[in-house]
Amino acid sequence: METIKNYLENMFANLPNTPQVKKAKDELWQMMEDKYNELISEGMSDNAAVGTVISEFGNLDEIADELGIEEIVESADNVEKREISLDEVKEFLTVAKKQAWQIAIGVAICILSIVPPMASEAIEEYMGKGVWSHFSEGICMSSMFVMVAIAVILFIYSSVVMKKWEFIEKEACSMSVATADYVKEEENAFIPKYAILMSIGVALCIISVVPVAFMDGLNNVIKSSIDLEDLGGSFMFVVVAIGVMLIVYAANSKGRFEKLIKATLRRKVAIGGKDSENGTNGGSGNVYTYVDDENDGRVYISPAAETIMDVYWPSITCIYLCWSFITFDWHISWIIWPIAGVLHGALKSILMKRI
Amino acid sequence: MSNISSDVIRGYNDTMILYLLWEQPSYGYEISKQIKSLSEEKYIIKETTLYSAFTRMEKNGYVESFSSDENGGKRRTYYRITDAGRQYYKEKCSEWHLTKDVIENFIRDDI
Repeated sequence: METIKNYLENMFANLPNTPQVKKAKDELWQMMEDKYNELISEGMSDNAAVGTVISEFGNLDEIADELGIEEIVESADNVEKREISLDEVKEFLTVAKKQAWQIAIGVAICILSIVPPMASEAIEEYMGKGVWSHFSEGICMSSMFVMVAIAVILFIYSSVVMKKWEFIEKEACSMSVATADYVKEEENAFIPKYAILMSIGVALCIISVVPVAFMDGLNNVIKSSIDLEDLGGSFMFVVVAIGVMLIVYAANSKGRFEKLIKATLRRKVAIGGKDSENGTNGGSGNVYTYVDDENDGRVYISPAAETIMDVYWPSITCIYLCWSFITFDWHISWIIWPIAGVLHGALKSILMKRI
Repeated sequence: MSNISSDVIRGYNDTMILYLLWEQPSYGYEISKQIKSLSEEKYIIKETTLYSAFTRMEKNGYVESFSSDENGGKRRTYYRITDAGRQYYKEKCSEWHLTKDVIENFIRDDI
């Protein structure tokens, strides 16, 4: 059976990953699988069955029309698609995995940076008002800034590294069927990991209140001279930081597969006429833009509009986190998400136009 | 006995498939199996030929495809003949009678 699968894979390896090609491959596979199973059930040996199936397969030339290969060659849209090779896909996935960790660790460090100032008071009380107390505050404050600086360096570094792969998010790309299958397989292999990382991350965020509650109780029982509640607060942020790190990593990692798939769905579209006179765009041709199919053929009305939509979700997340952490109104702050969702749809319809 | 040349039979693959779909919908392998047995194993249709015929006829509106789950849980694409397909089949049948009558006059059995 593997041999037949490989045979079919090889036949289709160099064809573009279009719906027609995929449909043809799926259906031919159905027929070959049926035939193989029946031959085996009739008592034929594995080798002979594979031989029969392959010899009766026929020739791909015969279905060239149905595959729409001519169509692809003629259509300018597709010719200008940038081909992503299997090696590039592998390299991108490796780099993107590293980047996902850098961002996740950066976010975790940002959250952790609040711990030294919080802990400083507890330490101060424990050490007593001595020489230490003169330094502790300064040390704790500086370590907070050092941590934020490290996080910022991580963010900038990772975005610089990803610059090389910007085309995956901007341009219309194509992949061979074999490459697209590789992406699918890798994505499927990641899904269980994603579920585990997400669940642990969310669980950690939920149980993060446990140290606070526990320390508070302990404080009342032992009447310690140290303010254990502060320590409990610090623990809470440590737990939240780990939880958020896992969530950010998981979400970002899932995104790297989606980016690749989205890149192949993007189309290149001419939006302006010939403008050779004023010499823009090399003075030779049309002005192009890239259209994501999920926006069903619409583009942003201006670069500013695109920027607004680009920063929309990060801004909402930022507002949500600031609001929640400052006021601790977690019980109600989630309301920002449904509102933001509706607003997003409204903004999109205002800021996009059909071409 | 010599094999049937694919050039000759090409024009009648559609006729064979529509004949087999006349009573009830069917799927790729089932059809290729029936063609093999009804032709007494003298003609084995290639998978690519069959797929090409399906898509061409679907485009022309002679058949419709739908997917259906087998009892075993396997998902298959089934094909169903349309009214236009039945009309086309009848035309192909009379075309074949004509073709046969014409060619028959030029075939010598005595050599």
